[in-house]
Parts: sequence; structure tokens; C-alpha cells
Amino acid sequence: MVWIPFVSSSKPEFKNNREARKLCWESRDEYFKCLDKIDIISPIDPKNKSKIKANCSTEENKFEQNCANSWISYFKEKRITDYRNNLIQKKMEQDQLEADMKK
Amino acid sequence: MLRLTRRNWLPLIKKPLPFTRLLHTNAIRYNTPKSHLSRQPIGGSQASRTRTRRFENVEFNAPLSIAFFLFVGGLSYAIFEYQKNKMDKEQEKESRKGYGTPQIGGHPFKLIDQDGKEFSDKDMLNKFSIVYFGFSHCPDICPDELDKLGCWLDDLSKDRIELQPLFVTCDPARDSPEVLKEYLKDFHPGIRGLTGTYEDIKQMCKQYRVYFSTPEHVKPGQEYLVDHSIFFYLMDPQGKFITILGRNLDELTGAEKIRESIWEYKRTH
Repeated sequence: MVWIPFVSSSKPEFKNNREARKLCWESRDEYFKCLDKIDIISPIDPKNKSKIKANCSTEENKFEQNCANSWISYFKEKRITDYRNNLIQKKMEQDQLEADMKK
Repeated sequence: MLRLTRRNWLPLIKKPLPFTRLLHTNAIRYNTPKSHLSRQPIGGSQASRTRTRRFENVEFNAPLSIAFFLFVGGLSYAIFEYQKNKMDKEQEKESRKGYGTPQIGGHPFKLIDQDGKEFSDKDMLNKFSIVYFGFSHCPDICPDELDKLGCWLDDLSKDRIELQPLFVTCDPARDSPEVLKEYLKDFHPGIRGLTGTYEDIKQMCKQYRVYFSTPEHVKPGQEYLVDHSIFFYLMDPQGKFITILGRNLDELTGAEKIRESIWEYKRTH
């Protein structure tokens, strides 16, 4: 594998295998669960930074330690889009329900 | 349709005609004194004799004509139904291929597999293949999809349906044959990983209508993700496209769709 780890010097190289992926996904879920607890959707928004640091710093560190760098930003962004998609989905279902009630 | 029905129904209209004529002539003949003596009834007035004779004649011929009518009617109905069925089937077959299958795959290509062996479009002949595009650094979707593919392959092999599973990378810069070999160890052992030069992969993706965006020149060590469309492509033994399978299908429904598509293919080819 052509992977020179000097860019991510503070972190060991991410070995892309089943165990590593599982570990990464699990720590991601832990981290997101913690964010849910403190009602934070966007982990990227700078406004939330201090709140996340105060409440979920261990989960965040673990998540960032266990996942490849490109995955970290991908999962963070995905959390926001998933949340939005979920909202749209719920609204559509609600509209459908109301339309059915009117009938 | 109209031509066929008219031809079928024609005998039904024509045939019963001589029958009715026969009925009449017989009735008249019995009343004439010229008829054979043994045929002439004994006793009774001329009028009553005529009435009974006429009645008897009708009674004698009615079951026969009814039977004849039913026979001809039934026969033409059966022919009509048979022709109709045949035409319906032809129409159905026509409609299925009428709109044309999308131009996916079927063109020549030359890539290399995870063992460094050449793999071309000719290696897709004489067997069904299932093609998936992804990349080994894919965070969550590809591994899930490849696990699902493994389930399908196991499920289908129980029915003796063998597919050639192919994983084509959209990230040739990082996915060398060695990387693919290491990556695919985690999945179904039958899966063949394909890579090549950026140009080769670009051509391959283009013929499968796969959208992907890989930066062409990446500095070593620089991390990036590849955006790509996520579909499985089921290909026939001539290397031509049969159907796509999307993310909405799970371990069971996906295998079912492949099974049905292959049965349907075998039925029509």
C-alpha cells in the first residue's frame, strides 16, 4: 500500500480491514450518541465546538483516533445530511398522513 | 386479430344452413303420398299426422343440430382462444424488449485483477457476472454492499446459480492489485478485484455509466474519498446488461431479483 503516514504523524496508520472498520464505526456511533445527548446535530459548526469539547471530548478523541482522516470528515458531514433527510422524510410522511385524514 | 376471428367463425354461420333445409324437406316429403308405405302412418287425420310428423322430425334433429352447433362453436372458440393466447404472448415478449435495454457494458476493455492477471471483456463471456464499482478506502457503503453481495452469492449457489462477481475500483491511484487483494480478503472469496490505469478505469466507468470523481493527480499520502454511483450490474453470458440492483435491496430481496432475472433470461434466450 502506498501510504506514507507522515501527514498524520500523531496517529497510527489506518489499516483498512474488517476489524479496523468495525472499531471506527463503533466509536463513531458512540460519539454521535453523545452528540445526541447534548442536542448537537452538526459536529462541524464552530459554534458547537466548546460544547462538544466539554461534554464529548473522550468520544471525539476515540472517534478521531480510530478512523481514517478522510472518513472523519465524511461521517461528520453525513450526520448533517442524514439528519436533514430524516426531517424531510418525516415531513413527507406527516403530509401524507394529513392528506389521508382529509379523505 | 379481426382477420383471424372472421376466419374462425365462418364455418359456424355457413354449416348449420343445410341442416335446416334438410329438416324442411323431410317434413314435406313425409306428407306426400309418394313416400314408401311402411313410412306412412296408420290412422289419424292428415292434419294431425302432419303435425306429429313435423314435431317428431324436429325432435329427432334438434339434439344433433345442438351437438353440431356446440361442436363447431366449441372448436372455433378453442381456436380463437389459442390464437389470442399466442398473440398475447408475442405481444408481451415484444413489449419486454421493445423499448431496448440500456447501453451498459458490452464494449471491449482491458484491466488487471488482484493477482496482476489481465482481465478483459472476453472473460465475461459464457457466464453471468455481477459488477460493482467502488474503492477500497470507501468508508461505509462499499463494505456493506460487498458483504451483501457475499450473501447473495452464497444464497444463489444453493440453487446452482453461479455468478462471476467483479469489483471494479474507481480509485486506481491507490487501489493497486496488492491493495485490492488485501482488501478483498475480508469479503466473499469469489470476488475478483479489477484495476488498471486511470484512463482504463475511466473508460470502464464510462461504458457502465458510472459516475465517479477521483482526483487524477494525488500527492502520496494525501487522503481523499471517491464519489461514485452505487449499483450492481447483472450481466449476461454475452457480456450484455440485464439489470441493475440498487441499495434498496437487502440480503434476501437482492438474491431474489437476481434469481428471477436469470430465470427470465434463460426462458427468453
